[in-house]
Amino acid sequence: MREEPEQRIERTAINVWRTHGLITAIILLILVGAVFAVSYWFEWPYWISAIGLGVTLVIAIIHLGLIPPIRWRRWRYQLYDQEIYIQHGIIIVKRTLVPMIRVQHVDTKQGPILKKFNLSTLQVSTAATTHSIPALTVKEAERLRDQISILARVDQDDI
Amino acid sequence: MTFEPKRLHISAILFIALKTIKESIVIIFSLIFIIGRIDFFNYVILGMALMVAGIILFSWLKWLRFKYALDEDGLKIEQGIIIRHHRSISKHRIQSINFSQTIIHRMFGLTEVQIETAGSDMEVDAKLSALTQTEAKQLRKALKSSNAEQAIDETTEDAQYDYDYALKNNLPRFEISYKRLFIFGSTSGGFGLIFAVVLFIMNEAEVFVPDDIYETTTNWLFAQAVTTLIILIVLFLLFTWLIGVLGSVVKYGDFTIIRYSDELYITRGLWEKKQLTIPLKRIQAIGFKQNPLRLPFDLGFVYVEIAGGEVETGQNNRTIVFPLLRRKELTSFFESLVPEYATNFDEIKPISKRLFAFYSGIVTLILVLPIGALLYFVPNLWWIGLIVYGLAILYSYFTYKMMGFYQIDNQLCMQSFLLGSKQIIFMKKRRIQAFEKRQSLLQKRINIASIQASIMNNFIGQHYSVSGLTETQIGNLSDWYSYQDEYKLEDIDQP
Repeated sequence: MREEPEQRIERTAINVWRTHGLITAIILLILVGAVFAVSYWFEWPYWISAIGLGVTLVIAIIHLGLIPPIRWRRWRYQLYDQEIYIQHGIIIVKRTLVPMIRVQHVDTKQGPILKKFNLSTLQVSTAATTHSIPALTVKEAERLRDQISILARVDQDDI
Repeated sequence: MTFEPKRLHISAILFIALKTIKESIVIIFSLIFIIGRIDFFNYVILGMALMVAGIILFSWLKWLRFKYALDEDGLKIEQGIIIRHHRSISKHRIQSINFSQTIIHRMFGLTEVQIETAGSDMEVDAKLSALTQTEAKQLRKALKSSNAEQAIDETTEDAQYDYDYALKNNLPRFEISYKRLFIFGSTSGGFGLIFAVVLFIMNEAEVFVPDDIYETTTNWLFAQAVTTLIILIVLFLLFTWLIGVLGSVVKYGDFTIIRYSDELYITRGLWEKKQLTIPLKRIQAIGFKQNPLRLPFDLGFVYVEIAGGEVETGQNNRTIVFPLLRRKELTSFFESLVPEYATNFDEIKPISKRLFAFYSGIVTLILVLPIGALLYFVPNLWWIGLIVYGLAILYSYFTYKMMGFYQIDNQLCMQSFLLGSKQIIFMKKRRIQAFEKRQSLLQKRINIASIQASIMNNFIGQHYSVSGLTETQIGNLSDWYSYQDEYKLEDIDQP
């Protein structure tokens, strides 16, 4: 396959993913706390909560420290007139080609966390697949969305 | 052309009732099992009687309130006992019109008509459960006539979906022989399921069979010699296998596929006769799958992946277009029925040997600990470890050996091996919705990667992949798939 796509997503994506990781870690910690309380109450052995705590720590380290920067570095995209070219994936790197004439609709999405960072996700759907580019600035996402919807107007039967 | 709303044939009441019973059968059976255990037999009978009466009333009302009408735009349907439901289906949106007749339909000279559109409704868009044959043919004619895309000769239209017509005009067709059907049933692997069902029934029979008979039988069984037991088991297996064969014969008996101008027309079934039409433009891909039982004999079934609507889906939302074919017969099958697709088996390029090395490495990594533990704790059982490891390596070898791909003109073909089944799929470039290359860091180092092509299947995506391609091969494929050189931005009509 050709060279990797040129465009990167916003660097603040790392913070978004870290926030996700933090939320997961907090939920897990609460669960571990509950298990600890139950163990105290019913006099269960404490190693169950100890294992839980260990697992939570490992998950927290992976999701807060290790993965977000690698994921950001890997995430790239490029928009041509005829197709969208996306690269992502941490262990397995995926490079996807989506021809504009196959695009059925394109959306921008924004959850509470993305909103805080003033970011937006671009989602491109074909008849068979959905591809999202996470963490673009709201302006950029909207620009791309409008651009793609114009480019996707090519008459499907012409090609 | 009629504008008057019409009811279905009165026998539709019977079909609605049968359908309702079929849909509630799980509830009925679970009720019998639950109540049967507490021994309230009279209540069961009472309950059943009430239920039957209810179903008859319900079916009659449903029939009474169901009306359909034709107008120049298409078909209109009104239905619903309490909540009235109106649906109008435009002629131009209709994708296919299928007929099917159960044995009861045939006794009355009736047929069921299913109309499918490209809409995003998972259900059949319109189902008329009982029409006379003439009514049904008129309906089909009326709904297809002004369909500009399919300019069908008016005079032959009526006779067209007919076996004799196909014979007389020497239309391309394929039929299955009973010998083939028998082999199909024997190798379908469905008897595992039947085996389980029979076992379940035998287990539940305990409730209904009086205790003394049950006890005598079990005592007799335990008193038998080993040989008798083995014979019994063999008989039992033979029985389940026969049921499986019978099932396939009933379902796929008289299977015929005919190519009309731009449609495939399939008739099949002994008990329930089905006639399906598959417009070629709805076909997203054609595949040939060989399960482990059929693989040694080079046999398999042909299927198509279809977009939108629900044309009689079989396994995994696939529509079987021929139940059993030798792989080498696929070429002539394609040539006569779907010449738009090419088989070109000799073009299939093998994938890189490095994939076999890669898989063997992974298998070794996974197995090294368990086998090591086995050798350490129970050295006597070393042969088990050897067999497991050998099988795993053999499986990797087969996966590598069976995989392959080729690309010609506007067609991509992928061959893969999964869970013992070999599958080959033919896709047109314009049907592939997205194309992906997948590569881990280790794979990058040894210059192999996987590709995945996504196509539409009913309403969801179906992904086909093949591994072990080199960077150059993938580069060529992605250049082939890319539209970059085919048109420019200026060619697009700006709004």
